[in-house]
Order: sequence, then structure tokens, then C-alpha cells
Amino acid sequence: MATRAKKPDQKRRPSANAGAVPGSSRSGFSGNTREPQAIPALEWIVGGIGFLIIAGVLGFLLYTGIHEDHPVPDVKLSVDSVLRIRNGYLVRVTATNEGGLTAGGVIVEGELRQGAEPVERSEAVIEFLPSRSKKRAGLFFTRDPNQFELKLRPLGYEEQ
Amino acid sequence: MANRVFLLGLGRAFGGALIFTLPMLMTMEMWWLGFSMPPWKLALLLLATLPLLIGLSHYMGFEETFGFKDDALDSFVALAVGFIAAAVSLALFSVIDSEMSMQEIIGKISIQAVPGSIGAMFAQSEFGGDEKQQREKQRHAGYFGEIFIMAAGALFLAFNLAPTDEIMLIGHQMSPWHSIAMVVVSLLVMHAFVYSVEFLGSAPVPQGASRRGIFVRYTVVGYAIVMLMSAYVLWTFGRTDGLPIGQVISPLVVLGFPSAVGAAAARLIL
Repeated sequence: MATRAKKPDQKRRPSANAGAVPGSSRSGFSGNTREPQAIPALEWIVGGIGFLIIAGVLGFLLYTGIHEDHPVPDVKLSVDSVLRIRNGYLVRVTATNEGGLTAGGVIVEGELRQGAEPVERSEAVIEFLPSRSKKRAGLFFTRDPNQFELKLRPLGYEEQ
Repeated sequence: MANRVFLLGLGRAFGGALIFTLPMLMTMEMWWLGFSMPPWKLALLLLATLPLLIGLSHYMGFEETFGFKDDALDSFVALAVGFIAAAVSLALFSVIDSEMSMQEIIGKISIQAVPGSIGAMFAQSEFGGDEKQQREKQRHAGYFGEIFIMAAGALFLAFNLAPTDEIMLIGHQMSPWHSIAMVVVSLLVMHAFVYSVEFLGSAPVPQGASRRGIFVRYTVVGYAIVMLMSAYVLWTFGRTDGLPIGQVISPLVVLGFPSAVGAAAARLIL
């Protein structure tokens, strides 16, 4: 392979950095001196933080990767509050995925019943419910949910 | 004194991380990838980022005498910057919060930290004050250094575009003729960049290099690297899951186009 020809000198920028801070001749984060031992303490600290973060994250990922065997989503629904709103009633719901797999497009169904008789049905879709995470959704009803029995259940999901 | 100079560099690195990753920080597919990607794929990506950063640090302006320890230290600084910038931005966008699982939070941050740390490293070249030094260093980068920089540029652009559905959509819309045309256009655009770098721009012209030699040594080899990087990113992002090989070719060629521009431009910019 041919050796690389040197650039003619006019290609170099005029020494615009002639008045730069002393010790700025090395580029890189510290932009410091040509002596390797002149790495500032702060650089060691930030570099150390970076090392700890990456080591911790890798450890965590490998741990979760090893300890997860064919996980499935496991969605729990609970009622946060029932509110009277201008156009009816709102039931605020928290969905918790206690399983190890992310569920997409989770359909949350709420049903008002009187005895065994369904009175009103309503549903909401939670687009992404990652494993061991919570998401909130709302169900609208025209009748007062406090007057009936409210049943909540997840209908289905899509695997991500 | 040295600490103050380092702080300046650190600020620059955060600026670089933000400028280069905001498009990804604000892309929801990237958030979803953070928790839908299998942990081992994410771990592999982070492990692969480390040598990439060390290589970038080596080729982007350090004295060759500075050696591995210095490049490794700077890579960890870049990673710290990438992680912190991603964590703060995502918390600010309410993409991560305390109700989410550790796995989701760590996944969302980690995947953004990869381009973030590359951006932090790029910032040293883009906004770094010491131009002359960088020019001098680039002269020493050598053929493999140039190829490495192309790979980094390709990876970065691929990372920007691969999460979007459009890459797959464009791939499915194209006929085989479109794909062939896209390969040709990618090669031409890449060669235009390479040619301008060789004859007008900043990189050194190998003595006695013929046009054909440059085409083979940089453009063709570069495009092969681009394809490899694009394939790796598509696979990492789960875009190839469940697809027969024939269905992967056209999205690969589509992603290869911006990646080729990224690869060729990286040599011009860095």
C-alpha cells in the first residue's frame, strides 16, 4: 500500500489556536497536555462513573436475560377513582403488568352489572404495557358506576 | 486548570450528545425498543459500543502515543455523558418515571446512550477547538482507520433511521428494479463523497492512487461495511424477526442509502 503523502502546508489552518489555553494541545475531553500523567482528576471521576454505569447496566441486562424463561404478561386491573364528569361518569383504572413480557394493545374492559345482568360495557386500549410497569386508563360510562357492580378485566394483547 | 479544561470538554460532549440524539430521544419507536428488545441483544449492543468508542477516540484526534488507557478513559466519559443525557432528557419528556419497572427504565436509557455516547465523541471532532491537531491525526488514521470511521458514520445514520416503520414500508413499496437503482445511487453518492474527500477535501490522497483504485478501496469496501452495519442494526432492532431472507434485502438496501451517506460523510466531517 502506498504511503500517504503529506499535505502541503497551506492545507493546515493558520494557527488559530496559538493563543489557546496552555495544555490544550491534546484533543479529547480534557483537551490537555501531551503528558499522559496529566489526566485531570475530574476525568478519572467521570470516566469511573461511566464505567460503573456500563458495568451495572450490563450486569442487570445479563441477569434479567438469564432469569427470564418464556415470560408472559400478567395484567392486574384496579379502580383508582370514580368521577362525575360533564358527560357522565369516568372510572380511572390502573393496569399493572406483573408478568415478565411486554403486552401491546391491551384491551381493558369494564362492565357494570346488576346481579348477573350486564347493564353497560366500556373499554379502553393501552398501547404498551411493559413488564412490571403500571399504566393508567379511563373508562367512560353514562350510568353511575357506584350504583352497580363494576367488573374489570383485560381482554387480550399483542406480543411485542 | 486541567479540571477546568476538562469541564469545558464535558460541556461540549453533552452538547454533542444532545444534538446528535434528540431526533432519537423524541422517537417513540426508540422508547419501545428499549423494553421490547431482548436483554441480551441490548447487552451485546452496549458491549459493541465500547470498542467503537475506543476506536473513534483513537482515530479522532489523539496523539498515537497516547495509547489505549487514554482512549478507554475517554470512552467511559462518553458513555457517562450518553447515559446521563439520555436519562435527563427522557425523564424530562416523561418517557421514564418512577412507576416503571427497572427493566423498562434501564432499557429506554441504554438504547439512547449508544448514539448519545457516539455523539459525545463526535463532539470532540465537530466542536473541538484544536483543528490542526485533528488534521495531523487524521493523516495517521491510515486505511483501516478510514474504514473504521466509515463504519461509525454508517452505524450512526442507521441508528437514526432503522427504528422508524418507514424503512420497512419503503422496502415493501419498492420493486426489485428500485432496489437495484438504489444500490447504484448509493454507490454513486458514496463515491462522490469519497472522491471529493480524496481530491478536494481534508483526507490525504494516496500517492499514485487511481480512480478505480479509490473506487474499489473506499467506495466498494465502504458499501460492504455499510451493508454489514445496516444489517446489524436491523437485526438488533428486531426488524428482521420472522422475515424470510428475501424480504430482508430491500429494507437493507433502503437503510443502506442513508448509512452510505453517513459513512462517506463521516470521513469528510471527522
